[in-house]
Amino acid sequence: MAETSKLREKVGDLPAQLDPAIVERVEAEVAAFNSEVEAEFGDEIAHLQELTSDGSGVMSDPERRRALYRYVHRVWGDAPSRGHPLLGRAAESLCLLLENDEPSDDMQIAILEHHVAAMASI
Amino acid sequence: MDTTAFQELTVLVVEDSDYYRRLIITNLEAMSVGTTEESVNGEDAFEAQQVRSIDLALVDLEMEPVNGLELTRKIRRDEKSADRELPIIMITAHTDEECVFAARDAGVTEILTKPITAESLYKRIYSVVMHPRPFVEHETFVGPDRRRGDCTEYHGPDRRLNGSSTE
Repeated sequence: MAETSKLREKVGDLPAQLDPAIVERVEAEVAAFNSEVEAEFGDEIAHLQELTSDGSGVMSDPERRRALYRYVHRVWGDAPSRGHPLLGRAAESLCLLLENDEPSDDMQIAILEHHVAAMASI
Repeated sequence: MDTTAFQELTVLVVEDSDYYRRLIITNLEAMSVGTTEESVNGEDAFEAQQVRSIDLALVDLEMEPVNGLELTRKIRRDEKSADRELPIIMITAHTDEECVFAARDAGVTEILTKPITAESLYKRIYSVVMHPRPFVEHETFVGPDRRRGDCTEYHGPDRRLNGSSTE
């Protein structure tokens, strides 16, 4: 067994903590970047509403359901970093619903619609 | 931190979200990483890994057509892989045990959960650099040793006890 230490040979010893000046710089750059892309979020939620306008159709078609899952999953991943943790939580919850492969019933379709309405409100 | 430490590194960022890819690269550039390469899915990333010299890969889990776990298995096992021992940090919003075990068993080096920060990303890179684990090549598993015990020098019969007594 060989140790995966090629990186250490290349970069040498590292301090345990990242330089606070770098953290500060990244935070400022990310904040500026987030304000640049804030407007796009509205478009993404509008697209989500389009994707789910036919709730029963989406829930009964595995391919559309999978595509919706991927879209919502992306929102789940992105939203907290974009300053919308609550939206991320709602997306996570919706992903749990969509992961379930069992045939959907009226209750699941209603839950889907309520999730999308909640995400649009947030 | 010596800002020149990462200047010789080439880091491959594999992420299908445009936003998150840019966020990760912003973090890497602030840490003075010399070169960043980008791929939007596992298929493209595997090709990139064959033609460019990559030191570290940051890989999202949920992608199509080849997801992060499948990419990791290909890098670890495929005969076309340019570097089977490439350190791979898996980035995911999933924090459940099932996901962590799946990543570990695919041969992922470290897992980083979203939302990422400069500090959390650095912590994983630090771990990869400063605490490398033996690389295991076995019929059923290829990747960094899944055990993270501190006692790596002892190979005697009680090696799994990690220094504790049975008496």
